Amino acid sequence: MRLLVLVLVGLWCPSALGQEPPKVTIESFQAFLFNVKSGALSSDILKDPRPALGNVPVGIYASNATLIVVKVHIGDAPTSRSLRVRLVAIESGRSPYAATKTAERDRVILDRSAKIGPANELGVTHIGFWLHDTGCREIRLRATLSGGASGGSKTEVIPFTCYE
Amino acid sequence: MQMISASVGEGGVNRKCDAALVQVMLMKIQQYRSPGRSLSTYLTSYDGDCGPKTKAAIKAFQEDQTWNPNNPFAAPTPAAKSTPSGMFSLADLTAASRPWSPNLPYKPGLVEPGDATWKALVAQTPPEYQDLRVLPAGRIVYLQGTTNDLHASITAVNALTFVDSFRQSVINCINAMYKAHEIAIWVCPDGARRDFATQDRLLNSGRKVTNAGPGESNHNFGMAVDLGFEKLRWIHFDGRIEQNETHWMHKLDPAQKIVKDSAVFWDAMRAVGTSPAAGLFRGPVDDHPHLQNWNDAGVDMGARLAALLTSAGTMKWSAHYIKPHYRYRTDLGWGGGEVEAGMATEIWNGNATLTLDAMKKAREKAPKPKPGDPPLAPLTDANVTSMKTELQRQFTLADDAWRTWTPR
Repeated sequence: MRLLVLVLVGLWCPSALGQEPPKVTIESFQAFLFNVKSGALSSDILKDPRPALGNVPVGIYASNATLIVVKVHIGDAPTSRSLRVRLVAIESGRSPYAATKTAERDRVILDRSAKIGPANELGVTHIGFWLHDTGCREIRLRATLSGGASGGSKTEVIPFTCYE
Repeated sequence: MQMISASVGEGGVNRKCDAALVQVMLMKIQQYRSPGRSLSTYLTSYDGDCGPKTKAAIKAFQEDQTWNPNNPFAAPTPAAKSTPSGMFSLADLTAASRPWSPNLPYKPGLVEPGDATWKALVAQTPPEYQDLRVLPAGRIVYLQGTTNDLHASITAVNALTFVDSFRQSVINCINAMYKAHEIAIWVCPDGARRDFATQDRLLNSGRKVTNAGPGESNHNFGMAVDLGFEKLRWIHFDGRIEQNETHWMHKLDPAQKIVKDSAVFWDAMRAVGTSPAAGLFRGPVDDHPHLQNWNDAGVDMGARLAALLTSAGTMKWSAHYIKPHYRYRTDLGWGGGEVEAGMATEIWNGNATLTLDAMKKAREKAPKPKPGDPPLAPLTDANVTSMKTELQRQFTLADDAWRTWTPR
């Protein structure tokens, strides 16, 4: 009887048999510059070779907004309805090459959670976040899973800068 | 390989730049295999400080040369002569652990410019690290830029918009930087001529990047450039080569605080740019990528824009400075008194501060219509609106005539 109970527990709980439950993980970020002249999005600026991000609001990108896409790997994991991705975007207060000296504080430009949608055949889903007034100061991104998911968080930096 | 400027090691001068260079060489040279020693390099990191580890590494390198078939220390010394294959005698090896003696062909733990130890270091540094360099005031070791990059950078300059004489100065600066430090520098995005509209967007990007409005920056007249360090291949402290440096050195200075290690590069570029070889001038102190054709102290940008507006358009203009912006006055093309028109960005955007009262006063001071001319209609708000549009057009004329701008 005791043996039967152990076997049943083992079948019910994969980790008891040495198998980890499928993990939901944040895989990576993508970032696309919104061109205010054309209304089009750039290619992924976080993909190598990364483009130089100087004077983005007035340069060839003419961009003052950025679409951030968080790529989440769900795999075969049963996802909870409460599973969400939270993105915090912090704009650096520094403007190291500006002609005028400013001492602004870092500021949170986005702190938002979004539900996770259905995954594709590879077990991957994407969540989009819109950042306004971007292009001159470095932005630090931090995406975290919440709602009982595993997989922790991931960070990224978009090195915008401007100069006279 | 760049020669060290002074001695490094035991009792040496130990400048940071020289120490860093020797350290990186000792990170890249494989030790000779010997009993009880695994194959490894003499150092695993560098920092430009010549401490006990570095001195010991230099000494170990020197002693290891006894296993080198081409022993650089096999010069005919009494001890060396007595051993086969040019190897050191046991007496020499023992002596190596003591202070320098005349019997040793090197000073234990010390490298001097051009001495046998230096030559051995250079000879044994792997080919891919034969072009190591370091700035005199710095400690970050980098790999010399390629001539291909230099030529590509100059080609890019030729495709950008500058005043021709200034373009040559930019090319001179790029060449001078390469000649002095073998670094290929590049024009940053949007680092060449910038039209009035672009300048206005930059001013109004909400980021306090500049106080210069449309027509108030050297960039608007093809006489300023922003240069950076994209593709600079430098050696991380753990020996990795950085392959993806940005114009602004985000890899070397991720927090962009202009730390000392990156400031050395910016300072070097500014020094070269403002040297007689390039003949440029710096802009605002913190605007490190920026070099321009004129000394800001000698050019009144507002007055010069007013002069350009006057010569390119149909009105007379003047400027006065109320910190932090210039404000402009114009006679509205009527040849009388001038009226306040506002800041460059206001005028450019059709929002001149012109008022109906001001226009009326300007008309009163203007020459009266000649006999026979049709009488002037009373001024209304509609005239103010259309005049604001006309003032905007005058700025467009100045933008079109940017090549005629002069500093005096």
